[in-house]
Amino acid sequence: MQVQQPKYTGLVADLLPNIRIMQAIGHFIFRYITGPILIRKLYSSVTLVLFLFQFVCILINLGANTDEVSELTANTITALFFTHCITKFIYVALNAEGVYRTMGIWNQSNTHPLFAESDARYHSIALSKMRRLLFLVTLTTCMIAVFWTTLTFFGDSTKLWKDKVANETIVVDIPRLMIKSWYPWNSMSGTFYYISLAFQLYYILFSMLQANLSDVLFCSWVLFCCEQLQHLKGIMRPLMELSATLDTYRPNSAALFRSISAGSKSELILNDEMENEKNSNYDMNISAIYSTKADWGAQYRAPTTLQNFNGMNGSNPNGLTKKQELMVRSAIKYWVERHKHVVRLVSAIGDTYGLALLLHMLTSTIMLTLLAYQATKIDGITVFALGVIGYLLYALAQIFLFCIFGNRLIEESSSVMEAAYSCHWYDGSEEAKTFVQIVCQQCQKAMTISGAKFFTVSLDLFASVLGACVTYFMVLVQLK
Amino acid sequence: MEEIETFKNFSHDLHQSLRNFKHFLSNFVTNLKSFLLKSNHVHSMFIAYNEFFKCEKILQLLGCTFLPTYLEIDLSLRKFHYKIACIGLLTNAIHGHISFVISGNALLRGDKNYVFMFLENLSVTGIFMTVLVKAFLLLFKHKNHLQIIIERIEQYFPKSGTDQVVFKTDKYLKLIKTFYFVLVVHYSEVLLQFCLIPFLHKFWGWYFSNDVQWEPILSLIYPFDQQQPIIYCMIYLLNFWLLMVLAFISSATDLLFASMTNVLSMEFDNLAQIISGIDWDDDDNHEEAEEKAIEKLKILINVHNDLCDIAQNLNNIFSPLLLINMVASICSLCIFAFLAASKVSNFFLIKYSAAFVGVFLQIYIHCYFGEQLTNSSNGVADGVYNSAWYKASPKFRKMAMMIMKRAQREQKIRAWKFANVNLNFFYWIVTTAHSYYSFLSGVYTH
Repeated sequence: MQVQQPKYTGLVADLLPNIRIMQAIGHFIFRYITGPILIRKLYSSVTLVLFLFQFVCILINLGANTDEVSELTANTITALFFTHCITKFIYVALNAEGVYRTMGIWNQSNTHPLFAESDARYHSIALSKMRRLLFLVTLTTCMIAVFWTTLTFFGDSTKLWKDKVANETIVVDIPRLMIKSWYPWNSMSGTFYYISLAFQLYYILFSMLQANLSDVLFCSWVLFCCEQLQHLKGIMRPLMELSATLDTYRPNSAALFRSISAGSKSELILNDEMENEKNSNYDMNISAIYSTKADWGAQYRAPTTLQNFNGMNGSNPNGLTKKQELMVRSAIKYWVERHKHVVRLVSAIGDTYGLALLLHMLTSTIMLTLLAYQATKIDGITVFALGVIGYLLYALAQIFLFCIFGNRLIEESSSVMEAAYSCHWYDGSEEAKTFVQIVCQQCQKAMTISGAKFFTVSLDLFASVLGACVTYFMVLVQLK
Repeated sequence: MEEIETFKNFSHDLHQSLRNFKHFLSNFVTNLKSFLLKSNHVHSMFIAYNEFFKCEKILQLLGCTFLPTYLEIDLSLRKFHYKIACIGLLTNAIHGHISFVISGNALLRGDKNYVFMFLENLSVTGIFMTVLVKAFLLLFKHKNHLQIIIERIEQYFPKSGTDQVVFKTDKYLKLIKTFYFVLVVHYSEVLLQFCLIPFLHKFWGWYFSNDVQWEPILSLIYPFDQQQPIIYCMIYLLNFWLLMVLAFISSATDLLFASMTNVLSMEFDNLAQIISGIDWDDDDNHEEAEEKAIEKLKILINVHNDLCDIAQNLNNIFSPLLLINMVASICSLCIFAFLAASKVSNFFLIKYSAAFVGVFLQIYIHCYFGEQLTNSSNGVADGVYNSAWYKASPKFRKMAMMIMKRAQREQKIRAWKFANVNLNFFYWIVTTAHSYYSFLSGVYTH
């Protein structure tokens, strides 16, 4: 029985590795697969039950050790840490429809034969960046799990216990495990110790991967939007050149429509490197492969005769045929439609993932406050100090990850205006000039991702979190 | 009667002498001002582009040149010096880190004697790391980029004497010269203080018959005893050379940034002035005059684009450095203030207050010139508004509107996406450093 591998398009095809790993570690994502769904549902449910069991064990341990303040703080931090993971897990499960909808927005995108090459180029840049991000985050998470496990075997595995009878604090032995947790079996030694160890290792690795990979999904979406905006900025200049042929005499407009053989350098894209002001003569590369979704068809293949000034074509000074004129006007339409598509995608991302970011920030704020308190009790380079610093760096790194991508989106979307200004808009047609004006007006307001309207995801958020953390630390040290 | 006459004469003489005295005083003050600032009264003296980049001379000691006229000098020995200097800075930064960790560990375990060493190590490490990153990035990795930027800026520099008078180029030159003067003088003073204080301290101790040990310049933790003469001499010379290299690199790169930003903001101001001068008389041929004005405007739009692009490139090169610089500066400011006010000894006060002023000046230079660039790029919009747009057709007005819209989006120097480097940022740095200082003095109240 041959199972036809379905062809995925758009964002799903780009993010397929990410989706596959997420499905493998138990997220409730049941589309984009071949084969029986029931087994996968069973696997995800079992994963959910196991994670909830371990989380409840941690909470029971927290409840049982509330007398001693340092134990209480440490257990609360651990509980909050794993709250992230559970929250992300349940959020994706409940909001799977939103995820599918966001993935599906880019299934059908418009194309234009003149700009298809630039589109493909930026698409491949986005793809490689997404793959690299996924690889780095997965690798870092695995390394953190290994580091945590290794750290467990150093130092004393004890806890402080307040003896109510004698009213003093004594040191009690506990099993040498990664997380301090209650179990219904005795895990001090023997077989049950190894079972607990293996279970905790599985729990740590899979929880962290779940939380981080859903963040990576969000960041990949934002990355894709940024690269689309780069593409739009890059085709602004050829667009202006093209529209200038409509009503200004351009001596070499033939070059704009001629298809060049493969091997010539396409200068559709403006480089960001330092180079001097380019002169306006350059050739365009028209891809010979037209997208099937395009409504241009074969009628726009390169015409060879253009410079025809017999006055046959009415008001057009460059002697463009009707079809070429239509092609020029459609280029502007392509630009605007593509921009609106990106805006739709960004708002869908905000709607889907904004609440998850809000919950993340709430949990992180409380955890960072408690970590600031723990940090005041560091008295040397011990296992305790390394643990506190590790938690701190991990929490800040998680926030930094999505803040930096949110910031990049804001910067890219508000710099479209600069790209519009830097092409020779003053030589364009009246249509092009008003187009540039309206684009500039709209792009002054940057596209932002907000955490359910409470805050915008940008580096200002990260800086304020960092500042708050330092302030709490300073206040707590003075109170000590 | 005679008394009245003599009284009148007397008052007349008094008034005369007072007038003479006032005249004498004003002359004296003008002469003193011109002597101190070395300004040229002759305004038609031509200012070469190289005058704005006098920091080249310091950079040449490290084998770097950015201006084409200096390329003939043989720099291979100096490039070797630059490499040795970088290696020295790197090893000292690593040593500073190790020392910081050891003293921090000792401090956390409760030994309060390590407070000052810990704080000094922290600030020293921060400063060395900053300067190392600056030396590596600016003088090695981005050298070609900086050279290209300086060449591009030169294109728009006013090249004739009359142009320079109209655009007031000497005003900008005077500004950058005051900063050069102040920065160079202060850095050499700080260097001198740090290097003479060990001797002064020993002399003080000998004079008052206290037993004072030889102090090192930079108090890092060494595995061997520093009091033996030979070892002390070697470490002293090494630290002296490192501090000198640090002062050179730091001052030269800061002044390079200041010079480039200064010339760029001058060019933005010139552009604004040219645009605001677009005007025509009412009795000229209206269409012709407007055609000419539109052609001029097109050229000026290209110039504006180019200047904005240059400012972007400048920002891209300097912004990561500025973030590290500002973070290290906040640490250093609060630590130096704490050490200077800690009443340990008078020498601490002298040393660390001088170092405090040095760091203060450095961030001020960056923030001042960042603000100047922002204001100048904004001024282009004012220049467009000051032109005769109201006489022109809608075509001209639409172009003017586009230019204004672009110019109102200012060219900013950023500290790597976090904040804009302007005088508001300077205020924030100083207030943050002050809050950390009060925290430190609250924690260590002995």
